[in-house]
Amino acid sequence: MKVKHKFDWFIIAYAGLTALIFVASVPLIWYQLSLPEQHLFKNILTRNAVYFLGGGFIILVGFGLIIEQMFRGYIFPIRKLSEEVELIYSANPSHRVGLDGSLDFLRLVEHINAGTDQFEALQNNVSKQIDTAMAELAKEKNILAAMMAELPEAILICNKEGQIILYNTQAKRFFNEQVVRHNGGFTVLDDGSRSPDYEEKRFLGIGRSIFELVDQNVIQHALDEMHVHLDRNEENVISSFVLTAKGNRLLRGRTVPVLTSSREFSGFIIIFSDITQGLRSEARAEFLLHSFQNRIRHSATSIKSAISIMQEYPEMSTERRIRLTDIIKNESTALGQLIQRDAEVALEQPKKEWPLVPVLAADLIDALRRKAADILDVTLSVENSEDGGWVSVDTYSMLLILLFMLERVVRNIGAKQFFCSFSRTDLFVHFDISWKGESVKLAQLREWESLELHIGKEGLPLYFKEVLDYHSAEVWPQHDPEMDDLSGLRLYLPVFKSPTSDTSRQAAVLPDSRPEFYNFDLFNQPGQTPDLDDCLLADLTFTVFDTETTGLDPGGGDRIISIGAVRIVKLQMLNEERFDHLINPERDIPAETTKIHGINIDMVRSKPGIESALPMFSQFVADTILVAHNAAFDMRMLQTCEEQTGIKFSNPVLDTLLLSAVIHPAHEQHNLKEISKRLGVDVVGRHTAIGDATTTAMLLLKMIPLLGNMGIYTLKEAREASQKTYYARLKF
Amino acid sequence: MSRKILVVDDEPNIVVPLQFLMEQNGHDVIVAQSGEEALEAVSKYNPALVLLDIMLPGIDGFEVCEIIKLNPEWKEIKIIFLTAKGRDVDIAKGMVLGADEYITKPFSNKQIVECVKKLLEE
Repeated sequence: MKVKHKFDWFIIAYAGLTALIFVASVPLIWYQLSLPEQHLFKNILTRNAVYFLGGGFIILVGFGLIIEQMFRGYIFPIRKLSEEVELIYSANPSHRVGLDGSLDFLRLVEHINAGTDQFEALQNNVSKQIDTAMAELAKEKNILAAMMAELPEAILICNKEGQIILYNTQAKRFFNEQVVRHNGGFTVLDDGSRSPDYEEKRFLGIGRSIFELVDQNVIQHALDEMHVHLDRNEENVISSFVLTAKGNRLLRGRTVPVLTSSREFSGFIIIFSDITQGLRSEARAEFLLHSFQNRIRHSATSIKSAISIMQEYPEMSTERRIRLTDIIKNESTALGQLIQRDAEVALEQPKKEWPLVPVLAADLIDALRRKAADILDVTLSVENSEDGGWVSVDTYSMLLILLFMLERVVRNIGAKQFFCSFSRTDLFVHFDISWKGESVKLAQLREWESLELHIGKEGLPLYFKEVLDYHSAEVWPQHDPEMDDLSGLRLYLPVFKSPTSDTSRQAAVLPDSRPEFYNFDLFNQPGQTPDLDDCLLADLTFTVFDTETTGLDPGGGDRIISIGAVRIVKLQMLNEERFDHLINPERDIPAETTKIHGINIDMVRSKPGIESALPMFSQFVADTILVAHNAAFDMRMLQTCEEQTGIKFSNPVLDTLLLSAVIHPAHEQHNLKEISKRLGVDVVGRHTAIGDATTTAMLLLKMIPLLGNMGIYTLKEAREASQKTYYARLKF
Repeated sequence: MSRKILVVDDEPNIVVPLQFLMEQNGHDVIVAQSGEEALEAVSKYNPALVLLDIMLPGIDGFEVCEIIKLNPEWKEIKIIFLTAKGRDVDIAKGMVLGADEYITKPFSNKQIVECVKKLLEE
């Protein structure tokens, strides 16, 4: 209840009570008097009624005025004083109490302001010390950041749920704004809403999931492999894989686990290197080496043969002798030219970029057996195999090769039951996959070679032959003459002689104390889809946004012309991760609104329309809490685009206007300017979408601790408190 | 013993000495320069033995070998791979397809004459 209303009720109660006491006392006195006394009392009352009533009224009014003065001088200001003092200690130490009231109250205010001066001075002193320490820290962070930026590899550090905690410049280059294609049109979801099929961009960012950027199957496979290494207490815990990224880059990924001091898995580091160029030169060098070798063999054969024949058959005709001499001459010349032209390049040692790691043949087959059952629904019996030893493979792509072979046989021949065995020679491990039924012909194998490796939802955008070549592997039809109805395929994989690897890496173990440079609190983040309502505000990821529009009437055809947004992860505003786009509204922009936001039609004519911008924004805000100042308006603006774009924003929403009213109910002004002044936030770029979004984000960061002081910690509590405020009724 | 021999190679400088060598050893020699020509020649002349290069224009030597060995009428034809592909895996692949011998270049005349003789006597 407002203080003013409390006062009114108090006065009414006071007057009523006094009247009641007066009226009740009259009969009490009356019945205690004798008859003559009653008569006398009545006469006195009747004669002096005017004085009694007048005096009573004056006393009542006098007391009322005194009480009102007491309220004005002490009670009203104390309530405001409490809010202002809280403001000083929680958000803005430069704020001073400027309230009016009684002399005693003013003296109190004076003392409080004097105390605040001292508090501010103390705080400035502490801040200065913190700033100095922070500057030192920032310097070290910058050195680290500069070092990381200079690394040719992309580094991504993730917690165990796959949320990104740290990334470097290269990672941004490889993954940020990666385009994922969808088919045209819309898909109607179970709840009736429409999910648009479009080409969408994926963003790299702190707190975002690695799985949005990289095929989850690939990472999951690497993590599974890593856990096996850890369970076996192996020294080398690295797990490698290959994938494609933005711009058809072929990346080699190496995953290293991060363990807590008690050796519990708490996250992982992925180091990506671009192997596109390296593989190209490797392929070129190998090609040259092979053609070089073939040419030499051909020429040597011709020369050797011709000379032998000339020696063995000295009586041959002159014509034939000349023919053979010509062969010797031509082939010798060809050899000379070949050495001159290609030898240097061909003999250059090719760099082995494809991340082949030693794996036990038995482990590979075991993984295949499980995957075949899961993905292809076929049975694979492993039979009497000898010790296959180690092979050198990229396990994920090699598993795809084996699965691809099975899938093709299932599709072309219809076999459902397979037998697998492996044996070993000096140079190769033979993996034999056989089935009852028709055999695979060479011509079919040739067709497979030019197909991409895709099996169900898993796959790589690489050709079957390409991956085999990188492994120096071969696949060949196998036929056992003793078992006519049994057909097979044999995979030849080079033997890996020693199971030690030159790229051995041990798990990173976190120290007991906090790491020196970065805040890795995200390692302790709950699951990726937690019950958001119960999450602490301090732990949530927010997208704070603002829209600029052609006008203030969303229902009357006004359109969005700019969206600006910044991200807050665990109370940290990420200045690097912003969304700032102008949008072509495909209608005019009234001059009076241009005066406010400064955007005219010429500035947006060449910009994308809402149908392109909104899918990007939707990706940017995915899995975060939306925050805006007067969110009802911005959300309504987004809602008006639903039909056109098919995009529905179902993220939880918080409104800083409502939160301000929750925190400072006694204040009447809750616009951006007033709140910024009250909370000591510098307003940046007022009336630009990105400027207002940044200001709103700073306000939110100030508000979260203030809400905490009021016992509002979780998203649910913040939302419920917002709903109770008066402004919640504001609708557009 | 005179038998027909098919020499399949797209390098004339290899074919000429081979052809002469086989003729001197009393064989009739037919020459083909591609996989397709080789299959045509097999069908037309039904040779007793094929000296087969692997890297050929069109259908390669492996596939020619597979087609010959899978055909019941032709499966008795002896096949010798003469090739620059000397890797272990290539030899294994050739033998899996039913080739009778696998000789890598450069070979000696003696080696090839003896190998042909041995196979034709079987």
